[in-house]
Amino acid sequence: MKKIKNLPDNELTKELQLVMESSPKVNSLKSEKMASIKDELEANVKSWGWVK
Amino acid sequence: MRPYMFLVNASGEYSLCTMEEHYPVSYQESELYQYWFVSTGKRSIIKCIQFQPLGDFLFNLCLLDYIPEKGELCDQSISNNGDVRVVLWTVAWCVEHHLNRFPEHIVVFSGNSMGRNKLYLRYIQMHRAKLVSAYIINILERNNDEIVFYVQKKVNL
Repeated sequence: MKKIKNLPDNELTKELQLVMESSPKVNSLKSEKMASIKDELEANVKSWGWVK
Repeated sequence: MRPYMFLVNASGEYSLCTMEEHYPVSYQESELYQYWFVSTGKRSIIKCIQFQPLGDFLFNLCLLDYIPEKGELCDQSISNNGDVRVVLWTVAWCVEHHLNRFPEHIVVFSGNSMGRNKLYLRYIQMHRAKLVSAYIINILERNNDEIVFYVQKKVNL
């Protein structure tokens, strides 16, 4: 995969398509954290009546 | 690999921002609800906004940078690309698009740092009038100075 740095617009679009098609792995500590407090988040929205 | 499409603002629909204010976005149809764009500030950075399902109705908003050296999407990088305003409008536009498609969904998000959360708070405060006309936004502080933002489209109520 090329490094992208100030590529022309058409090359950026191509690069974006390539990256999207490669379905890169997600490395997100925040996502893990939010998943770990899912029950708390759900309890909050239920207590506000946001979910029937 | 599912097909993706380039999005334009839906005509006639309420929109938080104009096309000029946000980056063009590509939407990838999958269970991950991914929106892609290129941040063209000091350098070009591929970014991905993902709505991570946490349950039937709850979705975590992730803003991820593509790291070419690792070939992965990461939320730990600080790009300082000089285009924070455009990036945040792009995020707002994606939230709006997602909630227009799925008005029953609730979006939650939290910054990686207090500085990031303060930035989000500042922008929400700056555009409060515009936002509250269409959305309910609740902001809760958790332990260790962590803040969680909750967004629901008003049509649900």
